[in-house]
Amino acid sequence: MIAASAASSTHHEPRPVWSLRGVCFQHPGATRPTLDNITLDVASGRMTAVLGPNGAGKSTLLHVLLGTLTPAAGDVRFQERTLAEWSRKELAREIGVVPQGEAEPLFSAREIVAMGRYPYLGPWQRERPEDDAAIRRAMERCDVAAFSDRWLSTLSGGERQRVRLARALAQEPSVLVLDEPTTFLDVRHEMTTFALLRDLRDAGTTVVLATHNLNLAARYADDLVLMREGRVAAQGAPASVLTADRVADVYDWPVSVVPHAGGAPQVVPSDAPVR
Amino acid sequence: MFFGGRRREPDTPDEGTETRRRACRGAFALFAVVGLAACAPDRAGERARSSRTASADAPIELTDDAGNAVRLAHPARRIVSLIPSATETLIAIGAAGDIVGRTRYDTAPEVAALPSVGGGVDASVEAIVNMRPDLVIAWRSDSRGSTRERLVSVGIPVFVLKTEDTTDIFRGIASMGRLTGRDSAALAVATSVRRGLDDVRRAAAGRPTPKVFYLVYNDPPMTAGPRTFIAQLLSLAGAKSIFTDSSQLWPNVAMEEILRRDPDLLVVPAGAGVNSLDRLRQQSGWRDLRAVREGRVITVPADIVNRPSPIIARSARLLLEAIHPELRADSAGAPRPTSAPAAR
Amino acid sequence: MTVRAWPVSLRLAVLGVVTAVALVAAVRLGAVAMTWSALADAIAGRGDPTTITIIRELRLPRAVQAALVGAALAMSGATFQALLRNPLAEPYILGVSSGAAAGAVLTVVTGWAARFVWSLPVAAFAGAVLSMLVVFRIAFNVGRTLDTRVLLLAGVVMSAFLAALIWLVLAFADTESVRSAIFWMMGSHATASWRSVAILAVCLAPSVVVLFALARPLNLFAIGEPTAAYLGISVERTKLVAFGTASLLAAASVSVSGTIGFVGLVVPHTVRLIWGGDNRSLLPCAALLGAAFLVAADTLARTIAGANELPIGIVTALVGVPFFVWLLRRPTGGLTT
Repeated sequence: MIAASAASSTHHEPRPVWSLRGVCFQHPGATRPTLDNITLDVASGRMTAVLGPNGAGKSTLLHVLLGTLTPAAGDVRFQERTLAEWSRKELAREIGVVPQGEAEPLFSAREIVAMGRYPYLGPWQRERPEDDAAIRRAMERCDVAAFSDRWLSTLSGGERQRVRLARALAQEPSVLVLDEPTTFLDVRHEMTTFALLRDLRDAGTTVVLATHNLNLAARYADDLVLMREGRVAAQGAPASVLTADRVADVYDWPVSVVPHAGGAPQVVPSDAPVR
Repeated sequence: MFFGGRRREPDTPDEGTETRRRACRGAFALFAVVGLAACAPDRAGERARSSRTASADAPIELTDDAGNAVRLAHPARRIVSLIPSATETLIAIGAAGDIVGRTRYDTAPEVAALPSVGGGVDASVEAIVNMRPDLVIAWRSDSRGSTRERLVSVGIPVFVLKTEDTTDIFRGIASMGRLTGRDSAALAVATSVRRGLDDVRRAAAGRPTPKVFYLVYNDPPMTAGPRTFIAQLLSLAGAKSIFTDSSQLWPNVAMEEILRRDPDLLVVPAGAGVNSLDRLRQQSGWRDLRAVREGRVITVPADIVNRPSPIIARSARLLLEAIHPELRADSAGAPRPTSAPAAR
Repeated sequence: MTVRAWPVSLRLAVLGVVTAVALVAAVRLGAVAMTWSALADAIAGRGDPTTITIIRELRLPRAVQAALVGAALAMSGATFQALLRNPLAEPYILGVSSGAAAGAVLTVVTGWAARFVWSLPVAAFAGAVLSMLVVFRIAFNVGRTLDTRVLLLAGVVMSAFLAALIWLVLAFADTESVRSAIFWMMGSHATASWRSVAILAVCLAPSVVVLFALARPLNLFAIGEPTAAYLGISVERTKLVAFGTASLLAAASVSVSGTIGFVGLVVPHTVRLIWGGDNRSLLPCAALLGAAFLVAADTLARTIAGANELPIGIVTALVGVPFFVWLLRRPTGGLTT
C-alpha cells in the first residue's frame, strides 16, 4: 500500500485519498453549521495541515474524514469509495489515528502500541511474529522502546503522545491522521514529532493533521487548509495560503508574515491594539 | 430454591387427595374431641383413656399448616424443633426425650444441653442434617421457605407450624401428639389448657371490661392484632382491646390514634425488673396518655406471655390478674391451678 | 521474577490453585466437623449416609455456586469498569441489584416465595432484567446511541427509585417478611442445590464465552470510544452486546444468591493493580480470584459463629475492605481504570 502510493506519486497526479463534496454538518445545539458546504481533496502521499481558529471546525472535519461523524449532507469518499462502504476494521487497517486526548487506564506502553495490531487479529487469535515485528518497529521509530513495560501513567505527557503515535504506526497505515499532536509538547518534542511526520511522508504515508502551530505547519506541510466558521477560507501551498491579510482576517488579529530560511512563511502576531 | 431433588410428593394425584382427606378427617375428629372435652371434662378424660393411638411403629400421615402432606414411617423419635413454642409443646406432652436439636432461642431447661442449629428461619441446614432427624418442625412465617425446601430435598420430613391464634395452638398440640404417637398425652394437655382458659373466662365474667392497649413496641407503636392469640387471651381475661379493627397480625399504630381511643390500661410485656411505667412517663406521646398519667400500666413477663404453646393457660391467668388486680390477692375463691401440666 | 512479571499462564495456574484450595476448604469446613478420611469417603459415596448427604448435597453445591457467582460478579465488574471508564463501576451499577431486590421482596411479601420456592429467583431475575431494560431505554433516548454517561446516571437513579419502592413495601409488611427480605438482600448461598448450580452454569457459560471474545474491544473501550472506533470496533453494536452480557451475568448471580457487594468492584481492581488492565488476562484472572474469594467468604460466613450463619455480603465487605486498602496504599503509580 505504502510502496504503491510512493511509486504512483512520481508518475502522475495521484488519486486523492479523500474527496469531500458539499459536506454539511451541524452539532446539535449549534447556532450555525459547524461544517458549511465543504468541498475538498486530500492529496495522497503529502502532508496536509488543517488550520483555523477555535471553533472553525478542524476537529469536526477530521471526524467526518474518519467516519466518526456522519454529515447531514454531502459526499465523503475515502480512496474513491464512500465511507459507508468501508467497514470499521478495513478503515482501521488503512488509517492510523492519533487523537487529542484519551483515558489512561492501567496498560503498559507496549500493550498500548500492541492495540495498533487489533484490526488484524480475530477475537481468539494471538499476536503473530509479524505483529510483534510491527510493534517493535513502531516503538523504535517513535523512541519509546525503553518504556515497553512501564505503565502509561508513569510516563510524561510527551512520552504518552509518542506511545500513541507508535500505536498508530503499528497499524502500518497508508494514512496518518493526527488531531493537535503537539499542543502540550515542548519545543524539542514538537520538532522531533514534525521531523518524524516528514520522514513518514517521505516514505509515502499520507499525513493529515489539525494544529494550532501555524509556523511549523508552514514549514513541514505540503498543503494547508485554512478554515473559518465552517468554511474553507483558503487551501494550497503554505506560501499562497498564509498571507498577512488573510491570516489577520481569519484569526481576527493583526499579524505580519515573514519568510523563513527554508522559504516557508512565518506568521508573527502583532501586539494588542492600543485603545 | 428450584424444585428440590427428592420431594415427598404422593405418587398419584388420587393418593394425595385421599391422604389429605384422611388427614383432614383425622385432624377434624381430634379437634372435635378436644372441643367436646372443653364442655365436659369427665367425659373427655374417659375418652382419652380409651382412644389409644396406633402402635409405636405405624406410619403417620398428617397435613401440616402450610397444606403439605407429611409422612413419617413411624412416630418421630429424633425431632429438631425450630420453633421454641413447639419445643415447649413437645416437652409438655412428654416427648422431651425425642428432641435432638434446638435453636439458639430455645430457653427451656430440658433442651439446654442439646446442640443449637442457629436461628429459627436461618438455621444451618447442615447442622440439622447432621443430627439425623426424622422430623423437623419449621415456621410457616419463614417467608422464603428455603430451609424447608433444602431439608425436604434431602429426604427429611418437615412439618410446618402456624402459631398465630389459639386455634393454631390447639391444633399444634394435637399435631405434636399425632407426630410423636402421643395422642392421649396431647389430648390431656389440651384438655388441661382448655380448662385453665375456661377458669379464667369464668373469673372474668361479670367484671367490668376496661379498654386495654397491649404494647408490643413503643417506637413506632406496635400492638397485637385481633387475630393473634395474645389478643384472644386478653379478651378472654375480660379486656377490651382498643384495636380490634386491624387486619395485620402485629400492626403499627399511630400515637395519635392511641390517644384518641384513650385506653384505661396499658399492658406491657417486658423482662424481669423492667419498670415500664417509669419509662413511658419519660416518652413523648406516651406520657400524655391518661392511663400513664394515672399509673395504670401493668407489666407482664414477656417470656411467658409471648409463647403460643400450652403455657397460654398461665399467660391467661397472668393477664387476668393484670387487668383485674383484685383477683391477684383473692386466693380463697380462686379456681384450680392453671399452669400447663409439664415440668418447667 | 516479580509477581508483576508473571506470564499469563503462571498467573492462571497460581490462581487456579488458590481457587482449588478454597473449594477444598469449603467442603472440609462447616458447622459439622469432619476428618479428611471421612470427607474422602463421603465424596466417593462410602460410609455414613448422613455425612454423604452433607458433603454431596449441601456443601459441594454450595461451594460450586459460590465459585460460579464469584467468577460471574468479578467478570461483570471488570467489563463495566472498562465500558464505563470509571473505577467505581461494578455489576449492579445499572440498577440490576435493585431490580432483583424489588422482584424478590415482592415474592416474599406476597407469600409467593413461601409457597413456590422457585418464584423468588425467577422474580429476582425478571426484576433485574426489567430494570436493566428501562435504564437502557432511558440512555437510548438521548441521541440514537448508547451514551455511557447517561447510562451511568440512569442506573444510579433507577437504583435509588427502586430502593425507595422496596422500603415502601417493607414498611407495610409484617416483621417476618422484612427480616427475610433483608437477609436475602445481604446475600447467601444457603439455598444452593445441584439444580440451581446447573441452571446458573448454563446461564453463565455463553456469557463468559462472549466476554472473553470481547476482551480486546474492551481494552479499547477502556481507552475511549473514538479510539475504539479508529481501531476497528463497531462501537454501538459492541457496547450493546457487552453491556447486555455483563448485566445478564450480574442478574443471574443476584437472583440465586442475593446482592453480594464488593466482589464485582474490588476483585477486578486487585488484579488490575498487579497485572494491568489487559482484559485478555484480566477477565480470566478476575474470574478465578472472584471465585476463590467468594468461596472463602462463604466458608467463613458458615463457620465463624458455630451454627449461626452470617450473611455473606457482610463478610465480603469486612474482609475485603482492609485488604483492598492495603493494596491501594502500595506504590503502584496510581489507580485508574
